[in-house]
Amino acid sequence: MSEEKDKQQEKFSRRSFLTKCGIAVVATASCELLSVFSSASAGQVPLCTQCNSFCVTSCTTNTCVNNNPPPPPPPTCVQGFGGKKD
Amino acid sequence: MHEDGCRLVAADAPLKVTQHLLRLEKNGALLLANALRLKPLLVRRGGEFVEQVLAAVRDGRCTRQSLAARWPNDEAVLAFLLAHNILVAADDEERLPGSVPVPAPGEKSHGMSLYLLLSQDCNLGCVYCLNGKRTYRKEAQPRMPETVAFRAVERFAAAIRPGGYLEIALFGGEPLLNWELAKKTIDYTEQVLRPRYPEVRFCYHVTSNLSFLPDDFIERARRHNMTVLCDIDGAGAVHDALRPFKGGVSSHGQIAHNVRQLIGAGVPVSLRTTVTARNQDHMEETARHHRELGGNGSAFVPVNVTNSDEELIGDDLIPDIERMLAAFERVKESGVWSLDRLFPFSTYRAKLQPGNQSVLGCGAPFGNTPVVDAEGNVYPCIYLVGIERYHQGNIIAGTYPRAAVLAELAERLHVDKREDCRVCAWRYLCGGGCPIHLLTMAGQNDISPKARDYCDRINCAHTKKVLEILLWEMADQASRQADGQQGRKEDE
Repeated sequence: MSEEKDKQQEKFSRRSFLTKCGIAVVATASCELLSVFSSASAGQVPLCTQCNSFCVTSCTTNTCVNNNPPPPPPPTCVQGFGGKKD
Repeated sequence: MHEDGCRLVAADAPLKVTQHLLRLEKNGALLLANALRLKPLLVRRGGEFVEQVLAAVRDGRCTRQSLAARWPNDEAVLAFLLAHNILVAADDEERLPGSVPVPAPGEKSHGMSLYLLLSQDCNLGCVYCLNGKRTYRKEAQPRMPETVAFRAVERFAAAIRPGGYLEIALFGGEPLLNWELAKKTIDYTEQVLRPRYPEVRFCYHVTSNLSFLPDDFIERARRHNMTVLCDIDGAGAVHDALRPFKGGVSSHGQIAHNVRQLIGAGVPVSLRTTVTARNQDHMEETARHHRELGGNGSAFVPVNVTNSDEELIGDDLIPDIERMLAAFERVKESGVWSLDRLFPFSTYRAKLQPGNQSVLGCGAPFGNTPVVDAEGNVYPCIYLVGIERYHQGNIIAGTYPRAAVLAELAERLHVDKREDCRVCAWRYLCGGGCPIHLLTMAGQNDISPKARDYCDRINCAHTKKVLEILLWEMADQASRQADGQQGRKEDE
């Protein structure tokens, strides 16, 4: 039983993978986590100028926030007054 | 992948839990995010274990090495927490610059919504009108003259950088009461300014009660791809109780007729609801009503309790915050509208993109929402018209811009400086939300407990609720996508 448990533990111990849609998942015996941003999100934001990757899945520097251009300015009116610009 | 995450912090470097931790729980799942460096993380199973790791880091001097020694089978989890900025280096200050890059005078903007108060008078008698009698000089029924309108569009078109946009928002009062000037202003923009600034995108918008339509409005709206926003606060009597004609005659039938007419002619009309105590229990029904009318989308916005005269609406109009927020969620859950057509969700989604950080809640301190009144006075926001301390100068008299107004707004509204924001973990995501109550109510002592409570809580409660709903929406979607993938690509 204990051997079986150990095997199970081993199976889960280093289970991390990227789904085809680019969502990073890690699953161990203790827990299962997934990244809400997929690597596909990189299409919506500038890539990291240093490693040319999207942070969550493959950036090796975690400096994207600093290296990317400044974030877009805030929306015009958060009371909903105004039209759609794009 | 996770080894990359581990490289972020040396193995023997002390760790801490981010000070910007957002922690949400729903149906046994846990959602964690760092609001400064947003990479939300969904804990689908084993939330207690993750909490245990975070507690250990909070309790003592932990490093990656020491955590890995304690949980040798969960190194991948530790790396994941690091890669998602839930755990960060203990010496990471996790702060944004204390100053805001407000454009210097003369610096060009990427885009603006220029609000022209074509007519400061209106034919409706809304119970919560944001235009104060004194500041909007309603008794004089001011109409903007051509000189002011032309100077305004000229002035602000020159302030847009190539590739940027200028949205000319026809506003009031009721702007269609001065429709002739609206047309002349559009013509001037098309014939003079568009050739002068070929790299600037010009677009037109009208916020109108649509209680009447000028004969050529549809043709003009189509020709210029005009967007239209109209307030319909509920179906029939619900709307009429809040937005009747002056004198109390019902307006809903006429407005609904005109909305249908516009939509039938191919002019998109977005419909907006100001949420008060009188319609807070009808929000889902109102969303359906907007949809039935053919609206391009629905907006639900909590009422502001103060107008530009800094006068308060009655307590009987002030919504119950918790009831209203629950109703917001029901509207979203109803699926009547997709989120890209349901304000505020449509706008706040932009705040939940990778890399987004906000230290201010809206465009006013950046000078992105200038309002020009009938006499050429400029204010940073439609709610601040006529308030002397926010007067940026006059474009006809040559006193515009008083740059100090925006600089002071930016300084005062920076989330690291606002007393109500500076220790809040959400602040770099929400940017403090709409600051109108803070700007107009600060010195008010003669205020009822209900109004005070509403002013103190509504902005924060509303913004957080919307962001929470959206974070869960994104997490649930990622979870469904992950489950739906066959043949996962093994990382190791």
